[in-house]
Amino acid sequence: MNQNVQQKIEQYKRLASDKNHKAHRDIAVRTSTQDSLGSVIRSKKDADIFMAELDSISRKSK
Amino acid sequence: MPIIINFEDTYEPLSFGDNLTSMAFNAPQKDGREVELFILISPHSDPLLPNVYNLGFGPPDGNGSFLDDVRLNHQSLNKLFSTVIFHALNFLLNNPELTIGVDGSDDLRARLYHGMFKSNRGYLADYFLAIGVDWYVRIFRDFSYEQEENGHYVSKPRPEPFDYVRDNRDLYRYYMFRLI
Repeated sequence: MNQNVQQKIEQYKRLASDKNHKAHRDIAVRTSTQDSLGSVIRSKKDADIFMAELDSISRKSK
Repeated sequence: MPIIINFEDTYEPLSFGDNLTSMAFNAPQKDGREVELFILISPHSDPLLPNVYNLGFGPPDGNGSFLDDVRLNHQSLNKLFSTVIFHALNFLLNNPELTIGVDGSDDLRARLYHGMFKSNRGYLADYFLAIGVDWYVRIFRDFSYEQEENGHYVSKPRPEPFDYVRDNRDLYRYYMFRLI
C-alpha cells in the first residue's frame, strides 16, 4: 500500500475516534431500504450459496 | 470523462458516525456553493445477508440518512468519489469480514460505479476485490425456465470477479467490493 495513503488511513482513524471531534447526532444505525439483491435472495439456502460464492471468489483472488 | 480515484486527494470529514458507518463532508459545486453530503454505510435490509452492507451518499435528509434523488453539479467528481471510496476503505479496514454492495438498479449509478472500477483497476486493486453480480434464471431439463406462480422468472444472483473487459453497455446488475 502507498505509504502516503497508509499514513492518511492512520490519521483518519485517529480523527474518527477523537472524542473532541464533532460527531453526528446519535441516531441508531438503520438498515438500508430493500435493494435488488434482496429481491433475488428468497431463502437461507440462496443466501448461503451466494455468500459461499463470494468467499470462493475472495480465496481464488489471493 | 472517467472518474479517477486518488485517496490522497479527498474532502475533509466534518463529522463521523459510530464505527465509521457514516461521515459528513462539504462538496464544492461548480456554481461556487458548498453542499454538505452524507455518506452512509448501512446493514443490508435482508437479515439473511448479515455481512453485506450498502454504500450510499447524498445531501443529508435530517433523519440519519440521505436524499438519493437530488442532482448536483459537483466541482470534482474525482475528488467526490475518492472521498466516498476512501471512507468505504476505512470502514472495511475496521470491519474486514464485511462486503459492501452498491445496487446497480439505477442505470446512472451502475454506469458510474462500473466506469469507476474499470478506470481505476490498477489503483483500486491494491485495496479491494471488485465483484460484479448478474441475475440468472434456471433452465429445467425440458428447457422451460423457472417461474413463480405469477409467471415471473425466478432470478438468482451469481457473483463473479469484476470483468474489466465488459463495457458500459454490459453493466452488472449489482456491484460489490471487499478488502483484498
